[in-house]
Amino acid sequence: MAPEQTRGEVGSRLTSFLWTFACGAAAGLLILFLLQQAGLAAPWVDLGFLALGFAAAVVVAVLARRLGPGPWQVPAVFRGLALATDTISAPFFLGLTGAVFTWGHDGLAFALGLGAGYLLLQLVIAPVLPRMGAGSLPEFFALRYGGRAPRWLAMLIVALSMATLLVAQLMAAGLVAARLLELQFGGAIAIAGVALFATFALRGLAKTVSVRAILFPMMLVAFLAPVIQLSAEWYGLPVPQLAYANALWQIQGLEETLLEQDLADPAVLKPMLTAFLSLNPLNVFGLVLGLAVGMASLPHVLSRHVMIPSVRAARWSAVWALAFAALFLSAAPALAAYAKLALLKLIAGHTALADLPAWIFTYGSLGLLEICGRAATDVAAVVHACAAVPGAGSILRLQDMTLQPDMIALAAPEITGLGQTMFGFLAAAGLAAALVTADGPLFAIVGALCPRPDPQKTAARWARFAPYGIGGAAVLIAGLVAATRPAAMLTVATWAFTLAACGLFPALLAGLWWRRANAPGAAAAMIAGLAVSLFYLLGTRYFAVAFFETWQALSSAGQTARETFAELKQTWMAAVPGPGKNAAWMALDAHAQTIANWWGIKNLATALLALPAGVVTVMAVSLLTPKGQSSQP
Amino acid sequence: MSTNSDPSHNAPFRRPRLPVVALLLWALFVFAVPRFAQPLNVADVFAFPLGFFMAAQGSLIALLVIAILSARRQGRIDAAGAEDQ
Repeated sequence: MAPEQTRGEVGSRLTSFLWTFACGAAAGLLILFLLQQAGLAAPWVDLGFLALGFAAAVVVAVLARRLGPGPWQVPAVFRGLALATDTISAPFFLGLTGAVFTWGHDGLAFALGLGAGYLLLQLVIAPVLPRMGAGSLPEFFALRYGGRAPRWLAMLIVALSMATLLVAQLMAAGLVAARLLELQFGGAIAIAGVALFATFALRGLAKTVSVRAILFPMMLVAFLAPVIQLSAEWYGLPVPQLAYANALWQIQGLEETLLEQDLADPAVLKPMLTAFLSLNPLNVFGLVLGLAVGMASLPHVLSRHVMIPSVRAARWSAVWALAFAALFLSAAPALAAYAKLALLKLIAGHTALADLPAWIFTYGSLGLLEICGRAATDVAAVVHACAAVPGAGSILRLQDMTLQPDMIALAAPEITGLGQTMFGFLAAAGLAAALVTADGPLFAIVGALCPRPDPQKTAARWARFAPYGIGGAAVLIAGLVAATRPAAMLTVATWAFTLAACGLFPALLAGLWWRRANAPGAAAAMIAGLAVSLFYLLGTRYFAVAFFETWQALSSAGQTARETFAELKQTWMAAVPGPGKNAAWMALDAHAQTIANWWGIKNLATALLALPAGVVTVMAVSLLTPKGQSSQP
Repeated sequence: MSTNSDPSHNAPFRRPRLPVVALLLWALFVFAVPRFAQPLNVADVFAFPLGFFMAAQGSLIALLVIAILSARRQGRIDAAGAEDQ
């Protein structure tokens, strides 16, 4: 293979890859559709879709290997598609719909934050970073600031934030595997982890990224097909971005009907069209800020999509990525609205608990859907659970249902009554996206922790396998965390973006645009940003009780919530050690997580606290210490 | 490693300037407009309440327009800079 291929050659090879891939995916889909029509049992068809998703990821890995190591001139469209694949990635692909479904209007903040990230990348990072000649973020910090501290801190932050993102990716892959194999989450995560490591090992360590461009059309088709079909069937307008306005108004009407008929509790029902019911404006601001800035500082995005090409190419790949991503970001609320409408119709139809549709039990068995406080595994369990809830009769009510945001996108085709093929293709695309895009964070971790082999020396045997060892360890640790389901996968992904944003962005921004910034300033900013964001994220999630007790004065909790906390604490203190005490602790901790905060800032909006800390620190410390020698762009 | 040669070798190097106008427009559509979703919802566009429309798609469209215009403008500035040398 010629080391340097021209733009046209690479473009035509990628185009042929794209067509081969598309034809293969379409053929697989057709075969599975025909098998299903021919009467093959549903679990076998599901297994087929799992194989389709895995095969897609393997094909991307193999083609990446065939294209060989870069760098070449890749057409901007392919660069944009690859960037869109890497950034939308599986947690957002499968999670965004659930966010809008669950948080209504406020869930749109996730889509907006991602969209804003592409433009920020283009305006602030792309004009300067490619000129620095660095290959990765730690390398950039070493080149720009000199000294060891900025580089080591950057490695640490890269590893931490990317491990968190890997957790979210594994949760997405595990979710699909759990649903298609009808497995429990832990086992599904294990399978997903093995599949992920297999594609990682297959792909090798070359820095080829443009091949993943071929995956984004599959993701788009898989996501848009159900939305377009529903738009056409329900409203005669196959443009989901316009058609779902009708669904929104129908939802508003149904919400009122449910309240009138006593099928919904006004305290639980949050009208979808009303803003700031789930997240107040401050939190929306912080969430959008964290996602946008996070995208502009994601290590794998910067090293693969911004550092290699020229300034011009980096700029235009961000433009194309925004264009392609916007197609998805604007369609996700439509799917959320359709799923919500179908669910509200189900409740408004006075559905008896004995006549619940099958999808409820499918997701109930996976532990993602609860009715009357119990996992809805079958009719008997639901009826039994609801008998214990005062007011719950034999009719399904809105407040009795708890749907995890993670399940919504996958379940939407079933909730809205579409066929198994639509669902299966979406699941396959989600799995492929998870397996392919997880190698972004994985490579970033390996790159940060693994010393780059010296090309002059013949590397020792262990050095060649070290990247795989580190990668395997990272997958193992992330899998163990993912199996505990720390939060919705979208939330976990947002934490990862927040860590990258708060730890890296202030020092990155100053390094690119402020001559006076020096090594002590950058190091201090990274420490400050990382410390504040880690403290707040871990404190409010894992040490909520202690966090609340320490910072009671700053919490936004109302009088009732504080009294509830005191009562729960009493119950826990009084309980005898054993299962009872554990249950009391769980209740106390769950309640504490809702009120452990400073000024009402949720941990999704941590950027609001940590980003200013980093910016102020880099300015103050840089000005207070002597001017550093630096290779300025 | 990157294909770019070390920047210090490219003699007189024109330092790029922050696209301030584009950044202000970015902040307007990303932070200011969604903040006023509730009052905007009084108006309708394409049968959507305006506040919802802006948060769901309007701001994304605006971001894309800003991105394209800014990328073209920056391209022209770079080209002019290259001619100067």
